[in-house]
Amino acid sequence: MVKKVGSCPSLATYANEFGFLEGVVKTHYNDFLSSSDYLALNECENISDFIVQLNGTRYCQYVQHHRDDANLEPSVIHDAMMRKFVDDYNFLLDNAIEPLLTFLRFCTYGHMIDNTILIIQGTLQGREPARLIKACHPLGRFDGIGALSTARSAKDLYDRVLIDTPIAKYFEKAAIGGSAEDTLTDSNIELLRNSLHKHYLEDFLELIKELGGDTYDEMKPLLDFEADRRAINISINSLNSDITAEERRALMPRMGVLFPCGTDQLVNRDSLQGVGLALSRVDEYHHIFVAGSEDDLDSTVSIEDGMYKLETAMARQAMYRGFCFAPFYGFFKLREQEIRNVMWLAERVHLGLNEGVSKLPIIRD
Amino acid sequence: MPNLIDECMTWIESIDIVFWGSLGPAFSISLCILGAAWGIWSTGSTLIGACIRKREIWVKNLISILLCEAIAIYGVIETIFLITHIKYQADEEYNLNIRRTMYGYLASGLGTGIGCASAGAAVGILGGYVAISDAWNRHLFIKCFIVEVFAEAIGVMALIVGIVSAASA
Repeated sequence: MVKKVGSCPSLATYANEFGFLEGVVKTHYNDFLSSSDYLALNECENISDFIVQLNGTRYCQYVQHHRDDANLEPSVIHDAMMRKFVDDYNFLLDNAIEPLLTFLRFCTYGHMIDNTILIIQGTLQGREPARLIKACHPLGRFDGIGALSTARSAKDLYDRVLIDTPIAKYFEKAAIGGSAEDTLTDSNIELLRNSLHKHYLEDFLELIKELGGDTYDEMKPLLDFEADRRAINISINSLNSDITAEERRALMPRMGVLFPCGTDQLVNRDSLQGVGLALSRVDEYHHIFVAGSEDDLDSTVSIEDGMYKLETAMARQAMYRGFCFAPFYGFFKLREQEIRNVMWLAERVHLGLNEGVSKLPIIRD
Repeated sequence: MPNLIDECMTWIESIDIVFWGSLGPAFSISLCILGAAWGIWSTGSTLIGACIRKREIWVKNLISILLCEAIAIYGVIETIFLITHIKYQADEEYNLNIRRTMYGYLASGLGTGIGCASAGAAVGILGGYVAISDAWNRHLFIKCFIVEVFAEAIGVMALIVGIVSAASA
């Protein structure tokens, strides 16, 4: 299915072709907020303070026109950070040549899938299409995204909107597995999302296999982790539902560290402890699970936090790599994590809570 | 078949021996410049990319470009040395060993050329990463730069051996 993109250049010619963008993306590492920035942000009393603090960082030109406003919402900060992310990403995209161009585009397909699902779900719940489009991740926007809200069935959706988008092929594969003719409901849309992500990840793996070399070696663990996280999420979220083991198995990506034995165990478990048993074969996940289950408040949330921490550590390692495309993916993941971190802090500040930053995965010392 | 080889050999021997000697400087200058250009291409593109967000690394990292440039200068030194010798030897009418001398110049030029080309590629690929590490942490610059100087030393070795072998040819 993947268009022929050629392989990633080797050591001798990598810097000639992608040296420029590598220089750009690696110096983005300096833009990430450091741990002292987080401490300072945590001391803020309201969102206006927050903006003053962000003014001292690389985000200054994106927040400065909000400096004198009062009664700001956290969403202002989200918008500003997202604008910078989109600008930086577009700069990379504008200057990229094949095969990096395909690689960079692939990084956004996940957001496209999420946006599609978000709009369909919102429409089913009767929300306004214009507000839904505003809520979409800007990197996952595509032409005709507004028309999504008129779709009633999966087939309709595919024929009218998605056929022109890059995610159409995942949709095709996902629909073969089941619900092409069905009307969309809240329950099968979640299945559709997971199925789309599964096919997306498998396709991404095909791409990096084609790129080969160091890119494959460095990207494989990152994509494996992503696949495992999806598999774990599916099994945790479907614990109290009536999804059968076979249906669960169909949603799990056919890749990752857990695949195939761990995935086999995951689909057959029907309690959180069972999931933990299936995860015990991989050290990292086992630690996260054990630390998560000790948290009495909400173990699923703390497992998710643990996963984000692991992801940040892996993405940071990827930023250090040379002669491959992993730094670009790492940059992507770290930026998303930074936005999550700052939004978490901004919401705490907005509500007047002060929980400290020890829980956050800090990107840079 | 042996006939063909014999014909080739006669054809090769009919070429003036000074031609083979002159290939030495030709190889040395072209390969050295290839290495230097490759180095500047790699370093330059990475350095320009890194400079966009971190302007202060620009002046310091021009040294990496200069190191690549020096590789081309080694080629020029070797070439000028060889050219003057070839001219002198070709004018010498009673040199009985002119064959040996000319092949010596060819070997000397090729050796310096390939050696310096490798050094240029090494300095170039390193130079880009020196720029990036400098952008991350400016204390790293001197430490990484020493590595680059050692890569440059490979080129100096090739130049020295080239000149010594040409002088004794």
